[in-house]
Amino acid sequence: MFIRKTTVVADVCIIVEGSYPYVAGGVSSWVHELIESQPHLQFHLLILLARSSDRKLKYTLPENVVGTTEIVLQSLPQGKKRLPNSALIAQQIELTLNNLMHNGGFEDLKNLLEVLSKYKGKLGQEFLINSPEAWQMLLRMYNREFSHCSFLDYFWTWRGLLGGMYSVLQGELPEAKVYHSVSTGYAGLYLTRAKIETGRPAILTEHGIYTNERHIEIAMADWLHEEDHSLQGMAVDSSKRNIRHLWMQSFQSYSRACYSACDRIITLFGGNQKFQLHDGAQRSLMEIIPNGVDYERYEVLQNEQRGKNFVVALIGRVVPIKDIKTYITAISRVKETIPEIRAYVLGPFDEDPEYYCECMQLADHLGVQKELNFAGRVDLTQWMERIDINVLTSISEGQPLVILEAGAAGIPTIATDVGACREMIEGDSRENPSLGHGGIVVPLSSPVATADAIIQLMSDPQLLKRAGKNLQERVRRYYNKGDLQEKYRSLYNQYIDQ
Amino acid sequence: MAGIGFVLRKLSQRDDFTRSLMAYFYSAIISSGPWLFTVLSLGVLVLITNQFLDAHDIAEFRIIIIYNFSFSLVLSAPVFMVATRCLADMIHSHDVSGAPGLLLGMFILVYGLALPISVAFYFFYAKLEFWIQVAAVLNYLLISGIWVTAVFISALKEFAAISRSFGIGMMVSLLASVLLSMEFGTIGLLVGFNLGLCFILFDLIARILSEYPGTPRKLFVFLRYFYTHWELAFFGLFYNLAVWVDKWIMWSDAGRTTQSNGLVSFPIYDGAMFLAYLSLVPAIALFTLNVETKFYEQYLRFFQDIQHHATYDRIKHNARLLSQAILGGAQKILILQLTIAISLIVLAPFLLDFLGSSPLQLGIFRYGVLGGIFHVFTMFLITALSYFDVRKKVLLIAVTFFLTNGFFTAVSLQMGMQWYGWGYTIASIISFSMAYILVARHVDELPYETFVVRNASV
Repeated sequence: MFIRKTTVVADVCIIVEGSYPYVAGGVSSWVHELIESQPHLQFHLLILLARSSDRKLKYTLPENVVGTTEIVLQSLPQGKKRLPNSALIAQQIELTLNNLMHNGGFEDLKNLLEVLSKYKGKLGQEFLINSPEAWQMLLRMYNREFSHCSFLDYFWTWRGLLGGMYSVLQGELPEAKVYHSVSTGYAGLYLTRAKIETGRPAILTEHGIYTNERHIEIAMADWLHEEDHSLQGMAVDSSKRNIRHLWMQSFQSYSRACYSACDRIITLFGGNQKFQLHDGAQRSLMEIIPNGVDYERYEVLQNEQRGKNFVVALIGRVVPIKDIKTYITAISRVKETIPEIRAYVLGPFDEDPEYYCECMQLADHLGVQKELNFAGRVDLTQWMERIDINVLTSISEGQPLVILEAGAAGIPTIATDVGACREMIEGDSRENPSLGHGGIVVPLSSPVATADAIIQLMSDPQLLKRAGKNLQERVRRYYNKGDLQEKYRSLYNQYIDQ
Repeated sequence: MAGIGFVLRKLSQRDDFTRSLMAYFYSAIISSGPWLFTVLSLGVLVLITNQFLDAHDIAEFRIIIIYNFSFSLVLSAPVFMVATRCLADMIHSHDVSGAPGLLLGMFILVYGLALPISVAFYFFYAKLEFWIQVAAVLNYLLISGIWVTAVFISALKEFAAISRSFGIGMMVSLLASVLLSMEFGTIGLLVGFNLGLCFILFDLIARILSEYPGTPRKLFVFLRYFYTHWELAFFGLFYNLAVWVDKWIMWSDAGRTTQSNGLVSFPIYDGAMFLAYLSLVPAIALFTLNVETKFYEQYLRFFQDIQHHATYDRIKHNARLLSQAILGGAQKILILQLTIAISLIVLAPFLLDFLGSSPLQLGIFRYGVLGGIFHVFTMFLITALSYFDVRKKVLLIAVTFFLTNGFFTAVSLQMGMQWYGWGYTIASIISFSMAYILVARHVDELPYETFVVRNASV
């Protein structure tokens, strides 16, 4: 376990949930780089994790992390068993809880925090979760709208949701000048609390949209009993609330509260913004600050021979979500028109050996085993000079940096219309005048469209080069890491001194 | 982003009540089984020997048997209560490879204690002939061995066959001891009795080893349960102490009988009490049968419906049915027991006269019969609570019974001969009242108790 206790008032308190520094990944790396890029500021890490989490550090914390605090979700202090006016307290809490689990927002959270702070130290696991009063509260809440549902599921959901919420609302709150959360959800809940209790500025940067991701997980949760099988998942016409609704609506309430509390609501690309708006984010507070790449590093890899090698590459792991099979099928179609085509898959194939096998078999079956090559994990800087077109056939993406890296080297991209891909390839509404397309956006799971796009670019070297240049310029102007880090610097500057 | 999908994942891994369900294993069999065997053995013993107590051999034999039953039960109870839980857990996790080891480990522990204690007592304290001492120690070890093997009876489930072998064993004891006594006196009685016990013990061991074959491994894994389930160990201790403490207190009184061999007893009291306990046998048998059917059905349904995603309405309904099953079952037994008790109390003078008992035993016998009703119901309520795995409440009842029985028996000694036995009656009534209140409260709040208070995964 790694906790750095401190009394220093940090400039920025970064709130992370289930990622940095114990989980390696895109968001974690982003947090790590953000802290490193602001060496003049002192950071405090507020880490939210599960009781059973692995506590191995996956990153060496930068020097300017002056303190860390861990909050284990659903872990509450015991608190007192009996309280003098327990019925009244339960009543006050119940009203707020009902809202928060349905259509709640900032005001409800504020009310809840008021009650909790009035009885500071006394309200813990014993009273809030295990007491007879809590039990009666649970029964009343169950009977109001969920009396047709599995009581067992409701019981655990109630405990899980409230335990998580209480642990966030009652955990330690380190002093800082600015609070910055990296997601809504529980981290967002904590951010809201920090805003309410300290009044200091609150910033939110959303990578993926928390409620969307939970939506998928909840819809797929097979341990949640479905009492009416016609109401699978989140059927729009289900008139009665069920437990999946309860989960989703609770998380939506947290998001709503968080957006209301924030001074700035940032996300990586425009596609996310419609979800933020739907959950109550105020447009005037919203901003797009994408992830960037080291432009100079990739720019040197540009090549005048671009378009003359007939080389396409899919840079990514060989896993189903990247939909390598559509790529393979597309290549077999391209081969008919451009027999010189050389296609590569540049990424590790050991994560899902079964899928890799299927891909190989497909390649054999379609007769492209000579044209298609799985090169495994490679050093991209060595390959970038040779690649003419970057292809992404993923079913789901956030903001794939590979498009920007290849773009900086002048390589155009053909990608599916997911995540930030369209914005990166075609530019978004901020671009005025538009820089032009940096490639072609194709529909999901469409080998024909993908193949046609490849053929279109490959048979027209001028078009290919121009697309590459467009994308390169776009990366230089809007996706240069240094510029984006500078944006955060001035953002922090603005709010720290407030 | 890893997100907090873990919260959802953790919920899908929770263990709903399957541990609670296993509580039924240390059920009627283990709480009333040993008591039943004791009552039958000693009751019949007393019945037969009451008229022959002037015969030194018989008096000596009887007192040794009573001592051995009482002390062996009190000393082995903590061990077998804890071992029953250990075995239940093994069965629950579908890994019974440790069962032979458990049996062997228990024997080693129990005999490790029993041997020095019995040897010290019979060889150094009691003034007995050598072979009597040997037979007495052997008798103690055999009885302790039966308590050890009793742990597995629930799991074996061959109740009919096992009852038969107990029956046969006791027949053998009876016949052999009567036959041998003619030639060999006390030794003959002891050896004859031991023969019957051997039959029962070896029959049980054979059944256990055939059901759980394999080499004994991890002999002392069950010792951990003394720490995690200390309430069970103490319950075993205090419950059996409670049942014997009144007799021990009588034995310490000046009015006791001391035999030439130095062993003390209070034959009037002991005899009357064990005769009274015999009246409980039908109730215990009925309870055991009933429990394995109606109550258990309802109990199982309560937990299974929860696991099968019942609504709260249904859960509450099942709790009500369960409470009715407890009360309904109790009612039938109560009617039976009251009938028996009233008849016995009324007919006591004739009965005791017929049995050749002293008229002094009349009062004690009546108090015993009356107290017995409440005692037997306390036992049932304890069993019901054990089903719900409320170990502390059960321990509380046992401690109360022990303290009240001891205290009021001591008081009755002060109050005079016509009050002898009254202590047991009062103690039984008090313990029953406490048990009733605890059970009623628990069943009333059954959903809360089940979901929040008792749930191990919480």
